Amino acid sequence: MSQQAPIADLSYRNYDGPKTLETKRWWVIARNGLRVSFKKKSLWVLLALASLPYLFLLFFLFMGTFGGEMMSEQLGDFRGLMLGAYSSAFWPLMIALLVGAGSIAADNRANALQVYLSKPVTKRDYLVGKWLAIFMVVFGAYFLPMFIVTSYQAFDTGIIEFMKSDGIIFAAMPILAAIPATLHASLLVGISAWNKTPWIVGVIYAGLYFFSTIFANILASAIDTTEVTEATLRHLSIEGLIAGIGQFILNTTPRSLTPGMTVDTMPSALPLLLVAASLIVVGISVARARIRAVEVVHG
Amino acid sequence: MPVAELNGLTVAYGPKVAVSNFTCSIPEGCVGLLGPNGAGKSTLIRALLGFIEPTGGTGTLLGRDITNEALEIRMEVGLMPEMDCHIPGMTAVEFTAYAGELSGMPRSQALRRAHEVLEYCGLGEARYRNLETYSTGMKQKAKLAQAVVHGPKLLFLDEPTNGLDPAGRDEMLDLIKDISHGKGVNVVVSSHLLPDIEKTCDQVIVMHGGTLRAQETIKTIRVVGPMLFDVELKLPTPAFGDAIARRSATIIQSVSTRYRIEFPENFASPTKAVFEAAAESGAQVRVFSHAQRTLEDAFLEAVR
Repeated sequence: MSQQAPIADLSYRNYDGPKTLETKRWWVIARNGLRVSFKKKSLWVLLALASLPYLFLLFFLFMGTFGGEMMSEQLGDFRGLMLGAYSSAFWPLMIALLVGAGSIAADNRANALQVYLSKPVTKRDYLVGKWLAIFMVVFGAYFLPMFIVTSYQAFDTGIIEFMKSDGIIFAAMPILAAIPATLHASLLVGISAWNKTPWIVGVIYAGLYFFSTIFANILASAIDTTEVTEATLRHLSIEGLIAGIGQFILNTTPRSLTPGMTVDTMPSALPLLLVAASLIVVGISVARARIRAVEVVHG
Repeated sequence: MPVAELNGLTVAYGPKVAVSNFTCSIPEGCVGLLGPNGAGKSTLIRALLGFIEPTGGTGTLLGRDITNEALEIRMEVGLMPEMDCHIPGMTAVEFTAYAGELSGMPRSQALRRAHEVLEYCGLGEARYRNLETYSTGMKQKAKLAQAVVHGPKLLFLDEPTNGLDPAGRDEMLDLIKDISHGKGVNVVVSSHLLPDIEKTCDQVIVMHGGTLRAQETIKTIRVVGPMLFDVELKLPTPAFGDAIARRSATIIQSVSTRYRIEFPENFASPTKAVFEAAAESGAQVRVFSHAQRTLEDAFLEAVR
């Protein structure tokens, strides 16, 4: 045998190993989305930035242990403070954009849908996988810092006492994290499916996010109505929906560590829930309508 | 057993009919799907894979109905699309293993098999590189690797030599020929490049304007007619023409020592007549065969 000859058989051999139609292909797609996302260093930076409000809160809670009466008074409403940190939505939005803007648009650009749909992958598998990859990253960005801060507070005040006064937070945390994660994932897959350029998706979604906030504030200021209705109108934006539903779940208004930055009126839950549900359904439906393996040109 | 049976298959994009009343049986082996751009080749493949729902007719692929059993079909079929189709941000190993997992392979098996097929496709150590850094030839090989990673029984190759330089083209054609002969994989090569089909395929299906124009083996499609023969003599021999004429045959073309001879229909033994005429005229026969045309001539006649 020649020294250059390979030590293994490199000719084509057919695959006769296990292969099944029952595999959860949506999970394969989601897992790949997570792997590709976490390869980006910028995601780690954004995750760190998104946890800053919670880190500040953690710091003040730590200081409060040794602080005077005034400090304790200010830190008294833990749920409100947690809601304040939760309502800081800018960095989580950036995370959603980084992970979600290219989720389907990049595949459209690279014609990768043909690869997906030439395998035994359904449109539903594809969409669920892409959606889940965005959802899980955003969910994690909210949930982990919340969990750390709440756990610290529970141990600091005493588990039993904490469970009596603020125990609801442990049950509410997954729901609180799921609200922005679901909204961002659903709207981003919808916009991403209709585009071929990830940065355009990012611009469109960021525009929608900020303009809806501005529009909701103008609308609330323009209409002369009750305080509750005004608060509800003010929350009819993506950012507002997240904060508003959060208030409803924790049954409190957000508190800030900065004096004078506190809102006292809670919005009505039902309109916010209806708008959020509609946005989720629209986002997913729009994506589902667009996903196909070939571009069909009519005419 | 044929790999595909199509009966009156019609595919339309809105009012535009891309494949019209297509009836054919695709046999085992390596089959060329030949036709000019816009003939409906890619549309036919897409319909067979369930990407587009046919507007009429029926079809089976590997014995399964193309409209109701698309997922089962795709588990046994590989597709190398015409255009670039790489998932961004992945190395070739990741891309190919991912394709294997999507096809239903366990993760560990998909990774092992990805290394195996990428090595086979000639990507060697480059398989650890990001796909965005690949040349066109390497991208084509990666596309082929993702199409065969799950060991398909049928492989669709849509314009597999698109954009390749001559050396890359030869490599790709050698790979196709190797996979499609003696490895248990049936291959359908869609191309408008006749030499590619001629080099790799045993059978050819000619499409034009969404319809079937011809389906034959490469050997038979090149035969001009059953009573036309090419004869080449060692030396020019004018007496050979007279001897042939006495046997009711006509020399329809004569260039130097080469003759194209036409025998009347139902002529009993053209071979015997040619060799008797040669013996009678003292000529020495170097070549004797059915008259053949190039695949290009056959193709042009089919699509005319």
